[in-house]
Amino acid sequence: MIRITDVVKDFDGFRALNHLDMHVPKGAIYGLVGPNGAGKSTIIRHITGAYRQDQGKVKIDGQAVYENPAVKETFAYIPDDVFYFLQANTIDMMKFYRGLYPKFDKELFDKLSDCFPAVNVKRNIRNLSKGMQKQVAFWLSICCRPKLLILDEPVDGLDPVMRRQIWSIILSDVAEHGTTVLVSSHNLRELEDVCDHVGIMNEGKILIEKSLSDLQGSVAKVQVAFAGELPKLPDEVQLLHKVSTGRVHTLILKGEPERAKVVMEQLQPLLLDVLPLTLEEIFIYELGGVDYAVKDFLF
Amino acid sequence: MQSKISCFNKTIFIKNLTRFWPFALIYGIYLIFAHPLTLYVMLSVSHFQGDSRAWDMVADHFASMTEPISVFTFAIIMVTAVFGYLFQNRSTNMLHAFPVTRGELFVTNFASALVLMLVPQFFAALATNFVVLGKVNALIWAVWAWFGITVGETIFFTGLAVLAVMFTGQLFPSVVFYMIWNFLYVIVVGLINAVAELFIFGLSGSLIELRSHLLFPLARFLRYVGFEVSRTDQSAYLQTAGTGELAAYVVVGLLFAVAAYYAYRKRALECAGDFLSFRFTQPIFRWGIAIVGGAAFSLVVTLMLSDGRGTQSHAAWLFVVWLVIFSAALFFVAEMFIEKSFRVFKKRVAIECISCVAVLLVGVAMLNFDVFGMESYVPDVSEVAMVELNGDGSASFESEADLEKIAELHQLIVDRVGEHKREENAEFTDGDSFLYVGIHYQMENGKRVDRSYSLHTSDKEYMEQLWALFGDLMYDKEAVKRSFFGMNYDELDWKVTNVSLTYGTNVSDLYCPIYGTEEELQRFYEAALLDIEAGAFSKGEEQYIKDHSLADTDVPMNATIELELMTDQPRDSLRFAGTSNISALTDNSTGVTTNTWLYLNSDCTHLIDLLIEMGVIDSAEDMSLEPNQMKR
Repeated sequence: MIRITDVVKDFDGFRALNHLDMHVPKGAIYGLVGPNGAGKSTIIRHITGAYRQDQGKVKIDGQAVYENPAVKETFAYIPDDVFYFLQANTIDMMKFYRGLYPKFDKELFDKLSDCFPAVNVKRNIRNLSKGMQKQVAFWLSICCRPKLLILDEPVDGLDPVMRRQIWSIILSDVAEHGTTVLVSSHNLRELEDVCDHVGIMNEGKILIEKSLSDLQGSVAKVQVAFAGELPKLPDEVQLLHKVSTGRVHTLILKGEPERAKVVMEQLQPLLLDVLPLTLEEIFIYELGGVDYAVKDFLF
Repeated sequence: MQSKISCFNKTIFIKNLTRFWPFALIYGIYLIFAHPLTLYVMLSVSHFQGDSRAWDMVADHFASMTEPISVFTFAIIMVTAVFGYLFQNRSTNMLHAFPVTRGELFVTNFASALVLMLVPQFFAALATNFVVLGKVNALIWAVWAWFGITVGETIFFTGLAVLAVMFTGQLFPSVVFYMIWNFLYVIVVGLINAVAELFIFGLSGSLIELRSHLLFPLARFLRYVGFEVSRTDQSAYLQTAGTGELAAYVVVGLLFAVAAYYAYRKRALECAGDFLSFRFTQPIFRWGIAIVGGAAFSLVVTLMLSDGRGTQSHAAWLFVVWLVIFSAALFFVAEMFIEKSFRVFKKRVAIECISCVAVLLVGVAMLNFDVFGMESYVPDVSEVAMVELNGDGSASFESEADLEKIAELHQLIVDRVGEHKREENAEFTDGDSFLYVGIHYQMENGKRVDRSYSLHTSDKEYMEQLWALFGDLMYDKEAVKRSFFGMNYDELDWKVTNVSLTYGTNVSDLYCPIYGTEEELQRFYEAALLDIEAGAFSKGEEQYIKDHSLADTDVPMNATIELELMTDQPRDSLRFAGTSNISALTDNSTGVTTNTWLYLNSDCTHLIDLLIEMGVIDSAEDMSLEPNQMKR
């Protein structure tokens, strides 16, 4: 759906995007994570066609985005800090979106009003709470019938109830229409439950980009106990990390968890347990010592 | 749905109109008050005064309109409103993520700004049409001509405003740039003239003539574009003026808009919130602020500190010191605006700042050492149309012989400029002579060359030579007549229509109108000519006051007779120099009127006798009495 190739962007001598490559498959919920200043918002602004890259290509469905309204009609963008016109209410904004997006579904808008009972459509949006403003943004974006939803820190600053509600809206749209979602966040935990693809970004580059299943199948966390010392591990097992507490050892092994279990059973441990890894842990062990700043943000 | 026209977006257009209509309403209210309502009130009053009075009122209303000022003001308001989203990251990123091209956004917003201006103008014209209809039908055309002219001015100023907006990412600078671009020529020329006066000995007036230059569109519109009323004895006409020039400005305005469009397409949106939106403008801004701001501030401080004290060279040195300080400081201030940070004291900026100050100092040195030869310049006689000589009074000259003498006088002065500069503020000693000379050339090509010299040297022979030349020219009887009554006074057949005497001490003035028959008043003109012929005005005013105050009274006084003169000659046939005693001309229904002032002295026997004969004063001694002792 989105393919970014070798994109470079400099701001007054500061390289914000450094030969960035990225691929968001069609129908994926792609989580773009990285510390503050990694370049997440910058690359999103390139994807939305607001910024022009100094070098490289930014394409959606094979077409360049910049100055291409035909492509822009296919996606909806919700920034962290949504902009509404001065004194505009939800109805005004609906009319504005309807004028710009040919596929805007007015019936859907009316239908969805039940899902947003707290939003007073005749009230100036700027006078609504931040959560309400976000809800309006989602409401309007979904009614554009986009093939792609681009969300920049969509739930940042919202309370847990509102976060849940927003994610629920996104996921139901994905389920119904197979919408591709690109969502940025500096919180990996936030994305763990919703994303099926994740890209981790730092210093203007994508450090790693994988599907969640690939990631989960690539590292295993095993807890073992032996009568004596930890025996030498077979060569087919690559130990990434080890923590020992008495006779109990927690091992992070490279490879599929099932395979790790089989191999470790051959060593006849007193105790063997394969534990689930969080997304954060997977990234840490995958990345190893690649970047200290990444570790900092993960933990 | 999107408009079929790819460069225009109906949704954005409607959004603009529905968001910003209050600005158009305010503008419309102003226009309604300024035109239809004002005319309605005037025509209601003139209802009883006849059709010609109504025609005069409407015609004068259009001829004196100041529409460019309101167009100038509202154009930047409308443009910053519709393009206001470019000043914030949040709004600019959102707007450009919508399925519209920059071209669509630009054209739609530009059209919106124009519509927000033109709709109130149209309704104001329509309302004016109804007000004028039935009362002065002959001027209905003028209402729509006004609308056309205003539309032209609107296109120009909107084009300029939108270009200003494209060069910055903030609201305030866009307004400032718009203002600066309009007034830049005036500011720069004013500064050059003021600085040149500090360094060029004898320079007075303007090195570069300002007037209403093409690069000062606001003044140009106010002065040359609009309507003119022409009146003769039998009829009066209202006609449009400067429409060709306006058309040229419209083309320029559209070119500005095209340039703004390309600037918008090239503009990086991440510059929202930045002081300047293009990197190449940063050095221009830094250097511009340092040079123009530095010169302006230095000039103000120099004038404040040296006002009435010290010599010209002292002021010039003071200026140079402040120029270095202010231009360097402002260079860094400009950098702070660009960088949005106080941390700008870097080696790169410092080097550039030093270069800028060095360039300024080189420029100043070139002025000081007269690299352009302005101090030593004496115009060629063949290129001079007329010269006005000032000193003790003023006189004008145009004969070749007189012009040759003036050139000789001027050359004598400039040959010893260095000496004059050195002795400018030297102590006076007994027997020292001082001469003030103002030489104002009116060149054949319409330009002016103005020089004023305060001359004082210890070389008596030289000063006597100057005085001899100056006196020969200045106190020549024909020169005095020309000064009082115009260069071609003998062709004008002046009729005296009013006479007054202003009698003053160093404390107060008393104004005394003199009444008499046409013949009696005309005698003042004849008496003045006789007094001039007798050499009464050939001593100079200051010399007279000195003489008089040494007489039997210690009350310094001056008495001035003001003659209002009228001629039935066409206005164009009258010629007089700019600062002579004769003043500007006024057209009225019976001819061309002007005023001249005769500074009386005790040698003006014919005029004093006439005053006695008409009972204004009792005797010549009356001239030395306190004003309240005068008969009338």
